Amino acid sequence: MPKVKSKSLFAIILLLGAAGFIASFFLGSSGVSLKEFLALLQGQASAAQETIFLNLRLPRALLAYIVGAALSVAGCSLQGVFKNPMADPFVLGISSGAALGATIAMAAGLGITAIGIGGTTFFAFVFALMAILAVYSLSRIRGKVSTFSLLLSGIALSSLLSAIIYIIMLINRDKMEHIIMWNMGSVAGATWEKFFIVLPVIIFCSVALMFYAKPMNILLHGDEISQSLGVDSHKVRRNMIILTSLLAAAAVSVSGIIGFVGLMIPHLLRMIIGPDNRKLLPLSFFAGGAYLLIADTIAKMIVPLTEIPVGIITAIFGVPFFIYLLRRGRKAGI
Amino acid sequence: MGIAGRNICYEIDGNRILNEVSFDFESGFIGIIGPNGAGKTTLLRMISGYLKPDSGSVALDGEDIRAIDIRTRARKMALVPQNYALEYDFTVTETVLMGRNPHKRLFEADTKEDFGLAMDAIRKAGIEHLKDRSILGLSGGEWQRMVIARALCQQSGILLLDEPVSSLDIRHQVGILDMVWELTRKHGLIAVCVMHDLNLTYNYCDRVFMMKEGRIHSQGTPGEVLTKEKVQEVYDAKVEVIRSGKNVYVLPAMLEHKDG
Repeated sequence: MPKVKSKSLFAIILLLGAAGFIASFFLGSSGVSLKEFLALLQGQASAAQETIFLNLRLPRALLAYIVGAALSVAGCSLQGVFKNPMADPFVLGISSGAALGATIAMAAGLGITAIGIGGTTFFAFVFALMAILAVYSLSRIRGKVSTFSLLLSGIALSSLLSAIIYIIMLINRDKMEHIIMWNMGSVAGATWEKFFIVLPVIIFCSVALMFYAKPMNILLHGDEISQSLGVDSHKVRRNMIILTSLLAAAAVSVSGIIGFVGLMIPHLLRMIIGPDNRKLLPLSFFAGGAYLLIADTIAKMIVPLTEIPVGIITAIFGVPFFIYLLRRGRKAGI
Repeated sequence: MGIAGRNICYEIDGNRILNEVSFDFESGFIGIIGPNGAGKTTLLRMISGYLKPDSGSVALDGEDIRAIDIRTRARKMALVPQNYALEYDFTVTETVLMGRNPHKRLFEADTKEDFGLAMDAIRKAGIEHLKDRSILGLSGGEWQRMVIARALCQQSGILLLDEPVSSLDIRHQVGILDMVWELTRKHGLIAVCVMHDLNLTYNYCDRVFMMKEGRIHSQGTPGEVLTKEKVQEVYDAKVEVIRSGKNVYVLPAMLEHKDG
């Protein structure tokens, strides 16, 4: 692949992200007008406007961006680890696992400060890890993990976990709205606190996964060949699963279940620049960020005076794409 | 020095795949032959350290292969597996460069030197014209030559090959085997090669290990192993061994059979 192509793609993605940020400030209910924005920059805005911008708009846009980035990098990594183009934190049940963990934490009142990094985040992470281990071992048939067994186990486990979430929700009616928002996936409840809690986790895991880009490329050749090329496939896979679960759990713990970002973004990029994870992972980070930011802006605008959870927007875009991938099969080298 | 196997046993689901296999591979071009299901590929996987024997051991320069870490192992030993498929759109050069991985740290980029070594290997394998092509469109033979280039790029002292030329046409069969043979002569490389074609085995190998039902049936020079009696016994087929000048041909005795 020519180098220029990935560089210009990178520039386009960064520009889209920047455009997404600007759009998110101006568009949507109680959007800031350009005049107001300029006033804000000059420090001449009213206190109310300043609050809206600094405490609502800005953290929300930033949170959407890093959550999108995290989901996209997680999807890209999982596709590599499982040698499977259908892998994604949502499809594989990681998100539902995290959601169940978070729901339990919320229902049990383990809220924000129970454990250093936040009880909800902690529970989300532990359950995410358990979910992916369960899906992986369920789909392993005679030592092999096929696309369909992986998809089926992921979906089956997701349904089971969702059922449990609903039971918990019905028992804890007072926390229902909170839990529902969570399960539909939204960054509407963004705060600086949430942003700063997950930012280091997301940056750390994403960068760590990028270190594994080359072994990931080699892992695509299967265990025997990977090992003959000096890649300890079991160790690499295990570390990557831990990092990915942590990454997905961090994202899900502040946004709930936002599906299909991790599926769509890496795939689109792969179609454009090829399967080299050394390019794909960094590009996925910024493209995922830009995508979720834009999706969230659409979510704010699409129905006037109503907030639609961004998870619904990503599903509306993602499901047709998912079906397209399934139908196309593995012909085109993805 | 070299590779030493001692009393290797291996079972899958109660079936004995390898039974008390012992060997010493010290130098040159070593051929492993035997009928389908004799345990040749499994033996190669024991040597590469990919599989762990139920009992017995493989030692590389006196050290248990399973105790050597994977990266170090890959610097000492390269593998050319049987034809396999990969449905990802990498280029030939990118794939060959993966052979440099055991010499690299996690985040170390490929240097000019690595690139030069890859080009060298690509040239040796005779696929220079394919270097920028996607691996998705390669024919079986082109694929195999790319995998051989990747193994050469690893610059290891030992080359493990699993039927490397079975999918190639005659010209490339001879080309690849000549190349491997030369490496064993010029660079003291040990090549352990699972062979399919008995004639090529006869003409290229320094030593031959003939396997039957998980055991090494006979070993020695091609002349000692590939006799009419032994081949007939191991393969359970009628053959003729014909000498013609420097070459020796092992042929199925089918035609004779038909005439009679």
